[in-house]
Amino acid sequence: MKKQEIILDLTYLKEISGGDTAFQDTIILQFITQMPDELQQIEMAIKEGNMLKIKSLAHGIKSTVAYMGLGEKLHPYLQRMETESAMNEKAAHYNQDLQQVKYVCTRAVQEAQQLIPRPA
Amino acid sequence: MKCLIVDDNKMARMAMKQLISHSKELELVQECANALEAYNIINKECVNLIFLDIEMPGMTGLELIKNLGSKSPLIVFSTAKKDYAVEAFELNVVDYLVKPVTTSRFLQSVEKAMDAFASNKQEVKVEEQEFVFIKDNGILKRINVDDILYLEAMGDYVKVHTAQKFHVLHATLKSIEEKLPSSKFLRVHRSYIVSLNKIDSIHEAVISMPKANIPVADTYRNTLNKRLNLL
Repeated sequence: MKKQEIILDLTYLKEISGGDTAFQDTIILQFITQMPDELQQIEMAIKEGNMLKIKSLAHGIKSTVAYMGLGEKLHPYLQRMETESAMNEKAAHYNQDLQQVKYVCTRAVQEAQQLIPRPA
Repeated sequence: MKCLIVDDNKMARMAMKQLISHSKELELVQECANALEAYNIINKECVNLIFLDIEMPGMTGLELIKNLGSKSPLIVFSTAKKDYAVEAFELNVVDYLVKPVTTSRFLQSVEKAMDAFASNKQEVKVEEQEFVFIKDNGILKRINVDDILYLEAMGDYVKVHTAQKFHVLHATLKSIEEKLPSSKFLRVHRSYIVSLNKIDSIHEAVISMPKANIPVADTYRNTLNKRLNLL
């Protein structure tokens, strides 16, 4: 069976941590908590057609994913969501872009969970 | 330097906190999740530098700087977008970082902030100087800056008017203007610099000072209007 490609890239985290693995774990844990919450919020904002919230959340997610090395992969979708919502475009690519973001982020969170040692 | 992190994204605050821990020059006062919280802290505590996000719900980073006005500490923007760079530099910020910020880029920014901090301190020293010495007929005389009403250019000479008398110096108005504290004095005409504290009234383009009326040239009128603490 073909092994799934690893999507998380922790190069940046390792760089700023200066070898501090406790810091790396704290950020990874924060990502595991924060990412699903942000995805849920943006999904809700799209359902409600709340342009201001879509814009603000897409902008915030851009930062969140960048720390885990997903910036390049997801930037085009998040950027389009941000631009279209800023222009108040109701019938835009929100759902399409959200699916891409959700797919990558859900997998990233699963990968992140494997990285954190579970309590004995 | 005492610094503050202002960012609505928790991961961004955590990363910035880690970067700050690499610098011996910085002491983190607090981290804030919104600009209003930062505004209140800056009004209560000594903060020299802010690592500030721009797009935040409620008050944006740009609005925070505008609201703080002259009380604003040094600013380093830290944002996910490059779009605000021009507007940011118009606000005289020290640096503009695009997230995620690398350690080397961050340390460069700290160096810039340290330079700006040192030069601000020097300016404050000059501003606080309370007296100047002037050469009058070969004698060095001390004049309290607060005693000066206005200065008047007369060819190659400048008359320094105080409430009691005037002193004549061999100098240009420009060379003297550069040495006086800019917080207290303002050029209002090719031939006049006035002490803002000594203005009695302004009617049309004439300033009433104790003992004299000083004309305001059109080119200086806007600057004068901005410096008046108009209620």
